[in-house]
Amino acid sequence: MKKIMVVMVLTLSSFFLFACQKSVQFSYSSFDYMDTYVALNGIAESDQQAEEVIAEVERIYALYHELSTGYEPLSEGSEYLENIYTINQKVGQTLEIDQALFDMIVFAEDIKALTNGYFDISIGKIVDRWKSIILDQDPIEIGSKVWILPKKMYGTVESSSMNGTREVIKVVGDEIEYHISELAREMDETRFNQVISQVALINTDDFLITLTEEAGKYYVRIDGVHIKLDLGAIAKGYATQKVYEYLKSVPIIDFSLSAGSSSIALGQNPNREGGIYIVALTNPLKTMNTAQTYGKVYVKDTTVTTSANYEQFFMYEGLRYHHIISPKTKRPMQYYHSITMIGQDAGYLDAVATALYSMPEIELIAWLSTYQNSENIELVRFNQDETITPHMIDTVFEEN
Amino acid sequence: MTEIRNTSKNKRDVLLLVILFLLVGGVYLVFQLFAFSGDQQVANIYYGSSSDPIVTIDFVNFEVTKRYNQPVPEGYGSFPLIDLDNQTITLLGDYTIGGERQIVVIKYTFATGEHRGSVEIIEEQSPNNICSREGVSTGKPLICLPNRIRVEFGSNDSEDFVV
Repeated sequence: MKKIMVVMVLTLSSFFLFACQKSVQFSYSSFDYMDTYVALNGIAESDQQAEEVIAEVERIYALYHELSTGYEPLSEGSEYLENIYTINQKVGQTLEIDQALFDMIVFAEDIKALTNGYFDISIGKIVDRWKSIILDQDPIEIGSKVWILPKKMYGTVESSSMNGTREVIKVVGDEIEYHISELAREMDETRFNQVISQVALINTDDFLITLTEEAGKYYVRIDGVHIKLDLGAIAKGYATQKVYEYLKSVPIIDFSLSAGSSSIALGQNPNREGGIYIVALTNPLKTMNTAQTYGKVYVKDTTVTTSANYEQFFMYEGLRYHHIISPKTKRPMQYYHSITMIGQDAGYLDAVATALYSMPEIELIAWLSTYQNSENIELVRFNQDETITPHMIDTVFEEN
Repeated sequence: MTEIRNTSKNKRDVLLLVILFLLVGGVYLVFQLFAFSGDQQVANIYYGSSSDPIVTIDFVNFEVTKRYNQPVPEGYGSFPLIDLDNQTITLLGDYTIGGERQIVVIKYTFATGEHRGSVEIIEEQSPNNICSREGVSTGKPLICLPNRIRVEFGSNDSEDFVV
């Protein structure tokens, strides 16, 4: 009898133990920073800790957003000295800047050196020119002449009709159902050549960024007729890295943090055995009739960054012209559709993935053979020819 | 005789403890599995930075549930609009044309056979139309800026993030 009592007490108390796991789930999200949607989900020890964490995360993103934006000056009464927008307005002047911005520019310049100049924050004007033509595409009209369809099928549209919300388009003898959003229109030759000649006129030889530190103060000076700084390819990852480091220092063990889908940082997953997160990789050639993803990686306590061409692009001669511009050729390159990187520094990955995206395969492989192990980075690339090449160390990559 | 009885008693104790451990462990495991990683095939629609979905689409049970009305200024009418026949959900976005806020129309498709449920933004006004150009999604979140409307999939066993 006594024994049964003991058993019951033991059983009950063990249930209480499970119920009393000290934890508070919290989440934070915002549309206000880095021109993207930032979302954090995590588990804290207490409500108070959760509140502190959310306040600090918001402070970090707000700080780097305000310093790195190239679209607007500092807000009125801002506590900061300059931001990228104001620096771009003052070419040829030595400006005192805050250490946070100084450190970010130094970091970007270090990656420029590390990647043999394939990452370059000074080509803002070239990036702008391409972005303007990518975003300024005419609305797609059914019944126009030549279309380029996904997966390099192209031909003359013979006829089109509506089936509910879908356009049924007859192309080269096949009737294929595509939603209008899956079609990208071929850029006309005149406009394409216009951009090529405009960017050719942007001479980058005289671009110079001078960074100096003196008596605890930080200065930057940019020179060059056409120089314009653009931190778009690094700021999101850099800020996410600062948040990631902060979360680890608290410490918050269980969390997921994403700044858009291109930059994510992960702790452990409380909902899956072993704390693993399964991150699926988008098929850059997805259409209505194909798989949406091409593979997945199993990760925890790390960061994942993707550079890809499927969100903003136009088609020209069957190739995608996207927003990642090679500083070497001043145009978007077509070696890969997407590159996903895994490593411990989201800022580094953001910039390096951008650099590798413009490197021919031989150069990319040579770069990786030098740096992969020392920098402890992993990579999966979806190549132009639709083959998939993983470069893993110990992370599991599974192709669909 | 006494010694033998003691041994068998000890054996019973051990057995009891083992059963106890298995029982508690089993219940814990089942609790963990069902509470956290059940195969929820749902998509949630959010407005602004709220983490409470306005509408939930349950792809497996063929249900669309309105959680609450989207807070909108007077004169715009009532949102969300759920059209079960055409399988669309309409919310009011933040992007304005001529001072008027514009709508965002989400089309959903329930899971059938081997196909997973999917969503697509079929109508929205914005400078670059990035979220409607995204096309159909079965897992990748759809995020509409500057309309501040987003569609996110509920956690399921196959993936936690799509990048």
